[in-house]
Amino acid sequence: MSIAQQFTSSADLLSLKGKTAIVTGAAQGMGRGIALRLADAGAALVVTDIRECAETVELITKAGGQATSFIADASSLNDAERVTAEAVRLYGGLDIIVNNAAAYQAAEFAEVTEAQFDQIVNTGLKGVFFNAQAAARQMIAAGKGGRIINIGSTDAFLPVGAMAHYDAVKGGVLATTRGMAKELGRFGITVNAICPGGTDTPNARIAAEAIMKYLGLSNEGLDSKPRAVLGRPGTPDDIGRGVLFLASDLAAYVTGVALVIDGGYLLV
Amino acid sequence: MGAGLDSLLRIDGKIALIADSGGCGSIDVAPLLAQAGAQIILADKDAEKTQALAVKIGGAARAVPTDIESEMSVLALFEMIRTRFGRLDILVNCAGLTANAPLPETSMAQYDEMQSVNLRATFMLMRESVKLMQEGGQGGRIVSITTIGALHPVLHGNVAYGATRAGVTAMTKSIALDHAADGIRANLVMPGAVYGKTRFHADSQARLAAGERLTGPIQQAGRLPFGMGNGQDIAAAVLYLVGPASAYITGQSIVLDGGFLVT
Repeated sequence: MSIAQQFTSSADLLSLKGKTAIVTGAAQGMGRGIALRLADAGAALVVTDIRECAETVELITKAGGQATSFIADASSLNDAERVTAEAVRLYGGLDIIVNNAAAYQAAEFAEVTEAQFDQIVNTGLKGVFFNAQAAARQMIAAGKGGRIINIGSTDAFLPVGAMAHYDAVKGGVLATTRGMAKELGRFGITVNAICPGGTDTPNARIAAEAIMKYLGLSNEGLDSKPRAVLGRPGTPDDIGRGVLFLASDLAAYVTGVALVIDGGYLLV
Repeated sequence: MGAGLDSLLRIDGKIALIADSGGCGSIDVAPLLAQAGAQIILADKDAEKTQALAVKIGGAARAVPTDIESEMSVLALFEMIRTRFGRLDILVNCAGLTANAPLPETSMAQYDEMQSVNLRATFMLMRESVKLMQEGGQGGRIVSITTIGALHPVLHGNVAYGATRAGVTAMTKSIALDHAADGIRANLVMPGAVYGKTRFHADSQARLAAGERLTGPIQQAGRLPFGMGNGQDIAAAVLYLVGPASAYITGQSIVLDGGFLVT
């Protein structure tokens, strides 16, 4: 049966009914936008962050969805294993993980300290690696395939400035995404990355201010005319919709790719 | 839940031109876009095949016999769209021609034919579409289906073919840059191992009929962890790129290769 024949409503093509998804870094901003989209598509959500995700859970449950939150440090292996186990215990399996948690702190290259570097690498790269590993072990054992979606950044291709340590993390995320895709394909697990450009989130606003200061530019941050050719900054929901595409049946044959969602930022 | 889900892929009432050249790239794309609510215009020189597809889709589709390599034919197509609909919302370029042959044996006639279908016709269709989208004032979506061969060799004997496809990448990025202000988004779908979606040149068909085999990286063991793709995988990516779900994506490509490029 062709996709068109199955297609009674477009919601069918994006439906995640009966699936369970973990989203890390989901207390606010991009992670919350992603969690809302996956929940809207019918997935049961496990949302994590280093602080309470109560507001995200409330938004999902108020709309009729299912969500549970855990305080978890993305850089902790113990937490990664615990969250995976909780997802299985609560919802009976794990089908999707979105590794969104990342830290960033603008600093001139010459000034970056070892502590800053370690913190950003531990959350953004080690965290992606071991949360994906814990999820993949569960998906392999269950034998039903799965989707791993890692959040990269346009910084992997074009540095924004004062973020050389973060650039390394995001470049690493793309490389390890391809490495995971290569090894996990035989288990029916697709592994992809999404690379957002400038996206309007609470943390991005703080970072933009610091970057502007370091670069000696006027402090207009995200409110200035964006470089993205579509003329506006991205929203958490722009990224959420991309994650939903990669998690859905529409992208069953897509693996090892980096989907750039940047409004044309990289074209300029 | 799900209240917002249905609208993410809907393209109700959009006028979608699906252009092909005697191939079958449009066979899976057109029905899916029709199901999502678009009015479909099928442009292909193979009038019989195109009419049959239009009939299969039903009331939402019409076949307009068009030779996309002929400027006169393309201009007539757009004049019809302008007169009948007054605007164009979506262009999907499905045409592709490959004359697979070792470089020393590739004739300039073969080169010219591939260049004409894969690059020149695509250029004309995008140029006329952008004009009509500008006139309509409501923006537009352009998706070209090319190949991962534009990024990485897939088969031996694709020296000219890969180059003609790679040219579409450059055109797409420039259109995305130049016409973002018109509300036009332009993106690519790059399939890998998908049988039967690119038309084989008669010379290549003759070589294959004579027992010659296609060889190249894609045939190495373990290169396709997800097996061969199908036309529906392509159609799904096209639907995503022409609909509201991808509103912030322009100048980009979606690689559909089941893992070939990471193995």
